[in-house]
Amino acid sequence: MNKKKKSGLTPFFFGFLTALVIGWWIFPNIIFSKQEQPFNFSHKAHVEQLGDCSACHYFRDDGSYNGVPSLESCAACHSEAITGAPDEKLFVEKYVKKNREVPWKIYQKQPDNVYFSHIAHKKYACKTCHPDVGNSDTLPPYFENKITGYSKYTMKMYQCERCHAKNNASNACYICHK
Amino acid sequence: MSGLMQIHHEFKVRWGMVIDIDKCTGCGACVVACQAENNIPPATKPFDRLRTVHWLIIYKLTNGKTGKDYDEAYLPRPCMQCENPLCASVCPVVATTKDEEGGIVSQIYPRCIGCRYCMAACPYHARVFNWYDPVWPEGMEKSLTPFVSTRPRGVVEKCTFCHHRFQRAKEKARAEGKDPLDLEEDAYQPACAEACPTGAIYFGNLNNPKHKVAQLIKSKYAFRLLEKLGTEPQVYYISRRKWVREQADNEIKHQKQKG
Amino acid sequence: MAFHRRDFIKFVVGGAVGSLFTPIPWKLADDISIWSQNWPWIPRIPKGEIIKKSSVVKLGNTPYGIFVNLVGKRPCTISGNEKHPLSLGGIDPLGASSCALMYSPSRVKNAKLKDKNGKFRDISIDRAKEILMLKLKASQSKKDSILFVSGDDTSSCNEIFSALISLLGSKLYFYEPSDRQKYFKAWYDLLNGSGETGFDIENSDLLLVAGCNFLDNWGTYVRNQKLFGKNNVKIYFVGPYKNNTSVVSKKSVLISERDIYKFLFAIVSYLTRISNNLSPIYGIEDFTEFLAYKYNPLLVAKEIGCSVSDIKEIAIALKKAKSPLVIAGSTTNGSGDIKNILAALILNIFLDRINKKGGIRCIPNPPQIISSSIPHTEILKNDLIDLIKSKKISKVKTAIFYETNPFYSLPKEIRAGLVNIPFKICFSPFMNETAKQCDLIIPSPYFLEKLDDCFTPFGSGVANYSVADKIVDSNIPNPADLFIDIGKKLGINLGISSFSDIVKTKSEYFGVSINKLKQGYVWTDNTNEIPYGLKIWDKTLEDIFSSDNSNKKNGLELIPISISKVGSDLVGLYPFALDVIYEDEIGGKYSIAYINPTTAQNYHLNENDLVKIKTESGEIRAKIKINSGVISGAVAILTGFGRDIDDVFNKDIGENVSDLFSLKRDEKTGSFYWSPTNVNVSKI
Repeated sequence: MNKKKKSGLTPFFFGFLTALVIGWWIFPNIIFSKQEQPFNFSHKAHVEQLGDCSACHYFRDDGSYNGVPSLESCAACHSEAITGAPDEKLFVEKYVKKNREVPWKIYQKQPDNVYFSHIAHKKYACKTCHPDVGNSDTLPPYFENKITGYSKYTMKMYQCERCHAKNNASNACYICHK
Repeated sequence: MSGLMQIHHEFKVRWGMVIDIDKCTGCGACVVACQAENNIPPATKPFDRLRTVHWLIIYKLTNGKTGKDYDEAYLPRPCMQCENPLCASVCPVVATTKDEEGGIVSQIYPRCIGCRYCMAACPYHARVFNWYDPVWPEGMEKSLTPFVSTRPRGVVEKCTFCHHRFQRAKEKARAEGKDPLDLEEDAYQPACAEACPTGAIYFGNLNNPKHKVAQLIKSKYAFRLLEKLGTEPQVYYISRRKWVREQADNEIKHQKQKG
Repeated sequence: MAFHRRDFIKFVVGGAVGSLFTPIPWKLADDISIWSQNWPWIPRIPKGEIIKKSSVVKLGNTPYGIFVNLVGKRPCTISGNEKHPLSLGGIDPLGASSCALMYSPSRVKNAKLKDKNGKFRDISIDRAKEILMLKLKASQSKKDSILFVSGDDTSSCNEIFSALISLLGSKLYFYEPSDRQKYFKAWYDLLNGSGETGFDIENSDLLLVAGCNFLDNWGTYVRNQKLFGKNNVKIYFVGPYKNNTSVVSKKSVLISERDIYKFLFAIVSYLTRISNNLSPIYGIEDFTEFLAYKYNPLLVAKEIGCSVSDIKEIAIALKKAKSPLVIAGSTTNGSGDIKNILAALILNIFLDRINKKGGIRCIPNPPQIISSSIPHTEILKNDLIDLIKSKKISKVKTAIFYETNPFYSLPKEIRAGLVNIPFKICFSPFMNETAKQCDLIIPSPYFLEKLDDCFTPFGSGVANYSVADKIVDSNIPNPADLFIDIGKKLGINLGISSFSDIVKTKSEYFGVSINKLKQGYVWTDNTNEIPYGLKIWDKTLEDIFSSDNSNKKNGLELIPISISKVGSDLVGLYPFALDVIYEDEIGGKYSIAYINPTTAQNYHLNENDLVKIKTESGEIRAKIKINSGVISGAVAILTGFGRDIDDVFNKDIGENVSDLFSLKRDEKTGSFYWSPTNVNVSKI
């Protein structure tokens, strides 16, 4: 009598495991594409020169935050190449001379309908939400979601809501949306 | 007051508007300022209700008489920002709710599924639907403002009392070290109130006795639209003309008035 | 071990169950929902710093000061400038859309030259400059062969243009015919006043508005509205149609535009009876006699169709008021009779309002920086219509139109006179009707794209000077600079090197720094000229008011109505105009003609009937709407439609009412007007 060996639940577990592996290891890698910033910017070098973060990242008079500095503020010192760095040469030639704003890729890029007020969150350290680039010579890699086009590090709504709820701040819709 | 369940929200700040109909000349500056400020695509056909999107509309009222007794008036109608918003109570996905910080009824475009229950519920027809994708003639998208997101086809939108100006006013107050919820009257004015040349549109905090609107709503000439429905709108109107006040609610002629 | 189908199914099921324990389904759902909210064809909004810069709106209607909000370098919205005396913080609908209008599809981007087939060819600005120079050079030998029509009567560029053409031998410099000219003629010529009439509405507590749409389209209407709102000024309105002014007036009396001066004189007549002391001004006794004889209130009321109590009520209100002011004007700028304006000024003189608080102020004339330019008052005296009707027009070989649109707004007779000029050049920011009629179009920068200044527009209370700096980058040169360059090439020295030079000189003359002016400060001066020779009545005036051209009415009277929300003659319907024009104001491709129930009955017309409206000049089609706010025997139509501008906001919307205008000359004053009284309405 030929007894067929029953495979039992083995294929099920195989499938289960394969799904787990794909879901947790392969999928997160393929959904994001790695992109380069226009050129490398060394925060460390600039902090040494200018001392304080607020030399380039500051609150304006009306309370808004300037975010990433404009071409004008960088060109104030870098209208010509002042160090020998190849990245700086690229910056001066491609952007300053042509009066083009640098298309930085924003790690915390939020959609148009989100309104975030930096000054309302003044009491929190920058690295609560942003990668700590102040001490690094290079910019962290930028991962872009292939489906949505937003950054991997873009904060989701539940992260904002959670912190608001914990700190007794309002979670009304128009606090954060426009 | 009707028999509807009255939910009185005790907010610290209640943004309200008072529109003086006896000062409104019907010039239309408020509507154009609203369209420009809120990134509303410009209409390309006159009064095409299917394609035109407008948050603020000006109604022309007449007293129905002829000859020498004929009189007319203009009535601008923004979203009433009701205290009991009928739209918020029917939204299946909570894309619209009554915000606690200020009492503005918020409308979140990405969350809206476009079922239009809210449009059916609103007795003031203050809500508009994007039947088509918004189109800006070539080059005109350069005049978009950074204040309000652009809406795709299939979502409902409505007047928001220019809450983005409220957000910016709070930022400014914080920058100056003041309380963001205790704003001065001129710190936050919506685009229509700012543009109105005769100053017929007053805007401010109804709870703040220093603001003009808080004083104006106590006038005996102040009225709201469709008061019988119990929506408790935050937009009041003032007119010294009785026939204008009478048009604010649906009176059945020869009905015995109770109370 | 063989791999059976059942195993495969178990594998797949396992995979499916396993994927539920991974982020895949949730992340994919979330990402797809975000992807569906970010369609690439929905434009993104800009981000950046919001900067406020000051400017002065110059779009064809009255100029006024504003703040422009720029995000990054792009203007996005307009805010009011509370300190500017011409706007006091208000904005009009056209101004509120000026950021979007700048990108309108009908902007003239390149210079254009018309070829033999009547089609436009793009040419370079330098080539256009060459052609302009050649034409100007050719006219040097012939006197008065260049005609210049300027649409902006407040800018210093008029000095540059008029200086160049006058040094080339032509004195034919005109402003577009308007109420301002009528006021000037009435005040300066006929009443012997000095300076230009200024209206001190700031200190007025009662206004009698006669005919014009004071709060929406007359003079400095943005300021008018602000003052009305702030000071709670009481307004009495007298006119043929209920408009934006009458809707907020204390009382409005509907009478024909032809009869307004009779109403005003009836008021004076009544006042002479109830007041004892009359101001000892030249001609007052003759005037009182004349009024008693011809303008008895009872007779006037019967003739013009109002009640005596209306006349009495307004007369008493004027007497009781501390600082009343009477303001007259045409329903559409320039279309009405000068008699109404004269009568209003006479009433103001009678009430002793000249150079008094809240009354008519005599504003001094603007300074002349270039000595060879034609002074502003001389230009105001020049009547373009007189020229077209005279033999002199045949000598004109070149016409230059600067930011003006006579081929849309003026009667057909005037257009016919202008179109025969051999070579026409147009400076315009928009491709409007006049640009299309011209042979050479040179783009004029939009008001945000150029340096410009503004001195005392019509309707101001005091002399004022404001400057608007260039806010948006543009490579379109300022026409004034073009003229200075051409002058240099032709060997003519105007005495200044550029337009910014003359603006700076003017600011120094007024004693204000140019930078302060560019940031929004406005120079004002309330010194008044003293009208030493002012008279209230004389033989000429008696002659003028003795003739009555309002009698023979063989048809309906046309009331052309101007409102600010349809844009301006120069610009057409601006991007957001169609959002504020409602069903009762435009009938798709037809205009709307308002008639009152009595007129409808007499002419057997019903609501929404399609009709043909005809005068000897032309005809238009319109839909009828019954409106009790129109006088009997008249049809009221909104102007500003029927534009020949190739963009989506203007095409096929309404019809041009100016096609109906029939030019008439008041024999005694020599002033022209064009609201017809013999309109024929027939059903289609």
